[in-house]
Amino acid sequence: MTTGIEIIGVGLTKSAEKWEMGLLDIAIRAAGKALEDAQSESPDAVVVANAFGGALGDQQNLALHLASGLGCCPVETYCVACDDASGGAAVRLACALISSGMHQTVLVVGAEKTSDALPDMLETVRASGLDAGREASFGFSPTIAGALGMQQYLNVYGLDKALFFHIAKVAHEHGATNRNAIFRWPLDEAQYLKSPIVATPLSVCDTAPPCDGAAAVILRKSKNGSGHIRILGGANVSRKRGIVHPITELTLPAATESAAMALKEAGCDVADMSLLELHDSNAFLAALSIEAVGLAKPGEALHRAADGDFSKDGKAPLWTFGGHKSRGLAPGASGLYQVVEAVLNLRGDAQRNQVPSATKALVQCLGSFGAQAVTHILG
Amino acid sequence: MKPNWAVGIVGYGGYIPRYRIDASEVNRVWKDSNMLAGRSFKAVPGPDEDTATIAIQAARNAMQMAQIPPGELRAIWFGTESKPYAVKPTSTIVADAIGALPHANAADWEFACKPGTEAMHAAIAMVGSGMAPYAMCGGADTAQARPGDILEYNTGAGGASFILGAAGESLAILEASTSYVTNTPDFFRREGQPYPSHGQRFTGKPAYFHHIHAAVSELMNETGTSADDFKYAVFHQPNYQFPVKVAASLGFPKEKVVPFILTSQIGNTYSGAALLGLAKALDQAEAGDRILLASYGSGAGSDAFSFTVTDRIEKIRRRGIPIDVYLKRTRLIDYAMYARYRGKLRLN
Amino acid sequence: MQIAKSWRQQPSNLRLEGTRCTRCDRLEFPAVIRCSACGCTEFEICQLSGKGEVVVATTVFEAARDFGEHVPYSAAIVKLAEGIHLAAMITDVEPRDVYVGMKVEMVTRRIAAQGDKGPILYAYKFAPLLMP
Repeated sequence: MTTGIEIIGVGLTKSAEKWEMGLLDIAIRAAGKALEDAQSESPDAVVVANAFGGALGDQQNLALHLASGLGCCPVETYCVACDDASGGAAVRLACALISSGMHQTVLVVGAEKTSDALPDMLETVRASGLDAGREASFGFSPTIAGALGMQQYLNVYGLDKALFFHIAKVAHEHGATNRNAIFRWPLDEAQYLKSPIVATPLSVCDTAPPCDGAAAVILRKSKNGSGHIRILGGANVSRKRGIVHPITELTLPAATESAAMALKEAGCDVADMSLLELHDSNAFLAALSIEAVGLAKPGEALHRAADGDFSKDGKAPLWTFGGHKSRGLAPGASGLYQVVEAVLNLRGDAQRNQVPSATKALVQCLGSFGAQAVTHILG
Repeated sequence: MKPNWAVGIVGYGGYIPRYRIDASEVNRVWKDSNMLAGRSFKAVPGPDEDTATIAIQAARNAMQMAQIPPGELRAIWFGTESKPYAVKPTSTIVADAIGALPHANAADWEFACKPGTEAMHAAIAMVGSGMAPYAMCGGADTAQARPGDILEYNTGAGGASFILGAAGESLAILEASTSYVTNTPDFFRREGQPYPSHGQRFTGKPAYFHHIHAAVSELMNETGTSADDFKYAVFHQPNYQFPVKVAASLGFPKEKVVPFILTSQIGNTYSGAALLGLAKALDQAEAGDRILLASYGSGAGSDAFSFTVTDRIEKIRRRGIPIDVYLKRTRLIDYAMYARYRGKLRLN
Repeated sequence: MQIAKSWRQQPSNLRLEGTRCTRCDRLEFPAVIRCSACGCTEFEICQLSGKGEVVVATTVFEAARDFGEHVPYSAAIVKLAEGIHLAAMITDVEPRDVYVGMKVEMVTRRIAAQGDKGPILYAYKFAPLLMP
């Protein structure tokens, strides 16, 4: 049970290429901001989400090093590495630590440092989140899988590739006003269509830019009348691995089930959500996520995006700070960015990215090409 | 030479990569002269191909034709002068791919362009002595040539594989064979060097012509045959002229030889050359035909074999893949792509 | 690709060997040590036919490390005759000529070679059916 937990502080760093900062520095900065925001005493547990720090030859056991750097020792620390789903899974683990009564206040930090690695090395490491023996070692990566998925999506639903523009458009529209985003400009269709192809039909504009970033939240057991945003529901679902299912079936069962379970726990429906943050590491997973959580029927995600459903003033505002596509993708931190951005909106602190009178939010991150999905309902 | 028990070929298969470069394109880059008359192509391995992958496909095609249990192969012997690993056998990779491990002999043979027929001799001996029900031999190369060298105009890529077994189940039975070798340094490649060196015109008379002539003459003496007794004759083929000339000196008319000279279509495939020619001859042979195979390897030597085709050939051959399928499967590339595919552009 | 890792995978990489569960008959590729359907740990080795068809394909222009020398290459999901789906590269055809439903067969190729000094990974790719 995740209910009865509140978020008393949030912090994030700008998503960018942070040449002057290392992985630990970024994590410390986000954690420091969250601690200041919460004005709380030292946490009694630290959970860190970091997907690739070890594989990239950077810092292993980042949670210990972070706690040490923050000066909050002695403290209980954990690292969570679940590919791009690390952030959501870390929040989930922190909830379990609190719900079980083991801890009162838990600091959850997601951090990733991608810019130190050369692009082909980063792609190799990101690919290792897939089936290492059958997919990664045969040259398949999440990006290539995304390209195959896009092609299948276009084939099966008989769509034109240009329709995928509307996914990137929503993200850029919202990222344009987010001073922490890496891409802060609206995207027009001409720009989208001339974007370089990575793997047909997927272009650079259909993928989220890998970047450096960290985001942090401080969780504790809810106190009556505290006024803090609460976690109303959560679910972490892992399904059969492999890129084949999403590509051939065009569904993300883990995302569907995880969203349904979290919504059920929160006692609400997807239609009740004031905003949603879904996993848009590439346009294909973004489209399937939209359909998986029930914002569009199968094959209609792009049309709903074109209709304006996902704009800030639309039916279901999506990627309110630009999503991974415009804000930037720091893989292990991505789930935490989603939570922090949703909290800012629910608090009314989102400034130019504010969704009017936001009361509930659904955030969902995906790992291993959608085989794992972690959803939280905030409100 | 003859084994105690009659031995023959129970299956064969060839493989040629699909890419081709025109010799005139090589000429354009290095000489830009009009010295070349007529078009001549050579097969180029794709960026994901090498001697091991060529040998594997040839071996698979041979197994598909022979339809024997891979576990009954007691030897998998491939010859090449372009090993993917300088140390580590290519033959174990081939054997693994066709499921013939582990109760087998496996080794790579080296004798410039004729290790495949050396291996064939050994395979014949192994089966003919009763040591093994079946043995596989073959030759494959992605022939090296220094950019701009005369060799570069026709060094091709390809290979063929033969499975030897008891005469009673063979599509062609060995009549006899000879081997003639001397210490003649007409062509060589030093350890660690990427490209071979050759003695230009020295590779002709004292090398190619002398050795093949000697080996075939000895074979004809041993079997009491003359050129008239052979339906087809297949020679090692570094180019078009050499096999035609050596054939004439042995009394073979062009029509018995030329159909199996593949150099204008795929170039000189080194260890694969004579064996692909034999496979091409078997593709069109009929029961009762006698076929001569004479290889040549620099260094130097020639192996000569006489095979007589049996009436099983139609039935067995149908299960295989004709060499013509690969000869017709082509995609022309320019010198730039050739340089890329052959690793002549350094990426790292 | 570490040496021992590719060595372990040779039966599946070179011969498309999978396993068939002796209890529930489930076919899995590559070979498994415990049936994901019924938990059984006894299997028969099962060699896949290597014949199949392209379900969907992409032409890759930006590759991960060790695959850059093959760019542009065709990467696809191939459905084998046995019903198993595999992520594999398509070779011996121009990437733009690969189409949905294209009949293909397994060939063994160099997948990656780690420069001039590393071990060479030989494994399956798929090529257009040579003799339809």
